[in-house]
Amino acid sequence: MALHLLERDREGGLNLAKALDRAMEGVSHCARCRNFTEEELCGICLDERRDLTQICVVETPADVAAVEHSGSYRGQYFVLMGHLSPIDGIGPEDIGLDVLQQRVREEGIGEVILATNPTVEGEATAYYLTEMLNAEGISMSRIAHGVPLGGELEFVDGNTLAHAFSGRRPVA
Amino acid sequence: MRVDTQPAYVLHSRNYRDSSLILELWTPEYGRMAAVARGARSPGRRAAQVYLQAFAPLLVSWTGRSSLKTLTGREARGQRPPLKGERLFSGLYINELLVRLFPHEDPHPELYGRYEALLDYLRGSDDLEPALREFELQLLDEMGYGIQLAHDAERDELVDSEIFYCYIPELGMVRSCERYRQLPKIRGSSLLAMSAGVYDQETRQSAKLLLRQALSVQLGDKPLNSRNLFT
Repeated sequence: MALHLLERDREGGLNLAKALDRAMEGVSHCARCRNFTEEELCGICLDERRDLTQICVVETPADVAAVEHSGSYRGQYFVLMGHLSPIDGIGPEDIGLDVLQQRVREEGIGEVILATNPTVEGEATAYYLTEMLNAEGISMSRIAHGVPLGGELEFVDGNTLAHAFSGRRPVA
Repeated sequence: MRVDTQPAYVLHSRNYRDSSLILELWTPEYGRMAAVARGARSPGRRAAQVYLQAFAPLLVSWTGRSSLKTLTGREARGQRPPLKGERLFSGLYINELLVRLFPHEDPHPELYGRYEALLDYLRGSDDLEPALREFELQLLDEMGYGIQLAHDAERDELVDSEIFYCYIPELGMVRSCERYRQLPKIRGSSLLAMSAGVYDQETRQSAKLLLRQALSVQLGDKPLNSRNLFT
């Protein structure tokens, strides 16, 4: 890419450099949900039409984008910017859990949806959050894990399938 | 060096570059190993990533001369249900201990077996504490810092069940006195019970204090992060 820009598109290269410069200088974290934003609060936190009583906890800004893209959720977010990982030295305060606890206490939140990844560290983070927020008397839920839509059981790995079975739902 | 189909457990996996993972592995013949799993996160292989997470039992092959090996083969060795809740935290604690206390390529086959048994225990048994304490004792033993629980190191005799003792690193259990008032005091009866593998309520409490002290000597100034998970 560097050679292409130098040889054929110097103007585009300069625009890219300016855009990168603006992003690096201007983008910081939203004071409420910790997502990336150029303002004090991000667009989602400022949107008054959204449900103010639900918080969805995700690991990264990319996860927010994915959930938003699905169009299935109209509440608030909290972005951890990582997950609990003792071996990497990442503890509860490094992913802003104290900030989240304060939000839950002060903003009259009714439901916290745990949408951390179904990895070992994501599960550890979800369990830690469950224990931490248990005393707050709010409803807590974990997103469902299982067979992908349009997938065939035959090709789903055993762990996922086991999870899908343990989380089965009555249909009638 | 080329190694084929070695059993291993994943202690930790972290993302590396766009599509790879760096795995910390625990193996019987080579001890702790670090290896790159190239392309493990590339779109077509995401499903396989689930096998490359902490606690996953694998069969691995690797090559390479530096301390970071390159995985040439990997397959799941059976399916185990994931650890949940407090047990997951205990598992992360054990993994952190192994990563912190053992250098790469320092084999401990017996401890590998104990680790395997402990993971099964974490998945199945109701009573975790004795298993965790026994593992910690074995771990210290393998490091060459084993504690002779039932032995009074100063008097060279069996500990007296009615007397309190303190653990002095590189010496062993000695009678508690004013000089050691900062250290946990362990009743002789608890030491005898621990060495017999019998854990009643008082013994559990004492064993926890004693092993925390003994492990912290080995861990140095940097505390274990996984302890912060238990509230």
